[in-house]
Amino acid sequence: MTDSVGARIAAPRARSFGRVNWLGLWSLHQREFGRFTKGYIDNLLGPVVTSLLFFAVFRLALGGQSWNVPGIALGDFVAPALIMMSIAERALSSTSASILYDKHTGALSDILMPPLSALERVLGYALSATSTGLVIGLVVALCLAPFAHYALGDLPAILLFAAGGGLLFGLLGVLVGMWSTRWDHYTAAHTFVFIPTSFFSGMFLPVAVLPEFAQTLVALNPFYYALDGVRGGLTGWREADPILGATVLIGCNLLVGAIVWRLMARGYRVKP
Amino acid sequence: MPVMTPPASNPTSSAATTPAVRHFGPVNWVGLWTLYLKEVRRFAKVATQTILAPLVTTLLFFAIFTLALGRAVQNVGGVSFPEFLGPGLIMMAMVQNAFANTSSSLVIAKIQGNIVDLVMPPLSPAELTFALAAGGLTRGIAVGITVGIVIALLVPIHIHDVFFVLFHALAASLMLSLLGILGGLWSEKFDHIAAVTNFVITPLSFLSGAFYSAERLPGIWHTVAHFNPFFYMIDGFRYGFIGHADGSLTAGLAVLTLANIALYALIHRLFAIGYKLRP
Repeated sequence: MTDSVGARIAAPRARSFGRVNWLGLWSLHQREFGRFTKGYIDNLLGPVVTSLLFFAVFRLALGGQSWNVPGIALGDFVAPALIMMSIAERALSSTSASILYDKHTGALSDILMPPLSALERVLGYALSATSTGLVIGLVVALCLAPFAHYALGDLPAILLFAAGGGLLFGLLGVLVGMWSTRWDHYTAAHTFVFIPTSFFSGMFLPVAVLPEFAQTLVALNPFYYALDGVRGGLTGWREADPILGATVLIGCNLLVGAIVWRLMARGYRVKP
Repeated sequence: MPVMTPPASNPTSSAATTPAVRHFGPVNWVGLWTLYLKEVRRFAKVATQTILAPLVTTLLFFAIFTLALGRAVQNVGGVSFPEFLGPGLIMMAMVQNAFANTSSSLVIAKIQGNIVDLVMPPLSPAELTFALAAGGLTRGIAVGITVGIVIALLVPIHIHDVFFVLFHALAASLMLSLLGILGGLWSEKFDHIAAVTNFVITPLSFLSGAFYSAERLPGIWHTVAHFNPFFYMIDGFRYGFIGHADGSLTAGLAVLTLANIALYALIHRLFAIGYKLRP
C-alpha cells in the first residue's frame, strides 16, 4: 500500500551541489536585493535627496568666495564624497537592519536553517549590500552630474574602490546586525561609529589642511582610501597613493570578512 | 464529574472600599501630568539616542563646516563663520528632535497597539494635544541646552537679545512638536513617517539658512526662502545671539505665532474626531 503511493508520488530528493551552494548564495543575494527593489523609489530618493541637500548647502555656504583647494572645484570635490557616502551608508544599514529585523520577527531561521555555509551567508549579505550600494551610488552620481564635472579617467579604479568600500561596509553591517539585539544598538553603531568615520575622511575638505594628529587618524580610516580612490577615478584629483589605497581596502575586507565569517560560524548572537 | 461551584465571593471584599470614580474639574490635571511625564520619560530613558546622538551629529556638522569653509568664508552676517553657524545648528537640533519625539511616540504606539492607552483614558482632545506637544517641546529644549552648552565651549557665544533666543527656541520647538503629532497621526507605518522626515523636515531645516545667509541666495530662491517657516525660526534665534537678521523679525514673530495657533487648532480638531485613531 505505502509502496504504491510512494511509487506514484516521487519523494523529494536532496539537491546535491558541489563545494559551493551557488543557488543558495544567489537566493540569499536576491532576497536582500529584493528588499531594495521592492521600495526602490524611497530607497533611491532618500540618498538622492540627502546628497543634493548636502551639495546645495555646501555651495550656498561657500557663497561667491573662492574655494581654497588648488586643482579641483568644490562640486568636483564634494560629489564623489557624497556618492561614496551613499554607497557605504546603504551597505551598512541595509544588512544590519535586515539581520536585526529578522532576529526580532524570527525570520532569521530562514537564513540559518538552509544548507548555506557560514561563508556563504556572510557573502550573500555583503555582496547584496555591495550591489545595492553600487546602484544607489550610480543614481546619486547621475543626479549630481549637472553640478560636477566627472573626468571619468579610470573606470576600473572607480569600480574597484566603490565596490571595495561597499563590500567593507556590507561586512561591517553583518557584524552590526549580528551584534545588535535592539534598535538602540543599531542606531548607536550608526551615529557613534559610521557617521564620524565617514565624516572624518576628507569628505568635505582635503586631508592636507588638517592638523597633524587628525591626518594620522584619517590615514587609519579605510573609508578615506575608498573615497579617495573613487574621487581620483572620477576627477583625477587624489591625495593618497591608489596602490596603497587598494591594498588597505583589500586588506580590511579580508580581515573584517574573516572575523565576521568566524563569528557567523560560531553563531555569535544569532544562534541560541 | 466535579461539581461546578460559583466562585465564592470573598467576604472581605464587601468590607474593603470599592474603587470610586475619580472626580475632577474642567481639566484632568493628573491625567495631563501623567501623559506629559510618560512622554518625557520615554526619551529620557534612552538619552544616548535622544540627547547624545543629536549632540554628536551637530558637533560633526559644526566641525566639518568650520574646517572646510572657515578659512574661505571670513565674514557672514557681520560675524565669523563659526559664530554664525552655532545658533543655526542649535536650532536645527532642537526642531529635528522635537519633531522626532512626538512623531515616533505616536507611530510606535500605533504599531505596538498601545495607542489605546492614549485614546481610552479620560483625556480631552485639548489635554492630549497639550501633553504630547509639551513632551516634544521638552525634548527640543533639552537637546538645545545640551548642544548650546557644548557649542559655547567651542565658539564665543554672546547673547544680544534674550527675548528672541527664548521665544524662538520655545516657538520653534512647539511648532515642530505639533507637526510631529500631525505626522504621527497621519502615518500608519514607519515608512510614512520616515518619508515625512526625509523629504519634508530635513530639507526644510537644511535649506533654512542655518549654514548660509539667505541674503546670498540668487534671485527667485531668495524669495522662496522667505516662505520657509524654518527660515524665521533660525533667523530670529540667531538674531538673539549675533544681533543680525536676514529677514524681518516682526514677520518671524507673526509667522511662528500664527503657525503654532493654526497647528494647535488643527490637531485639537483631529483628536476630537479621532482621525486615524478610532476604528
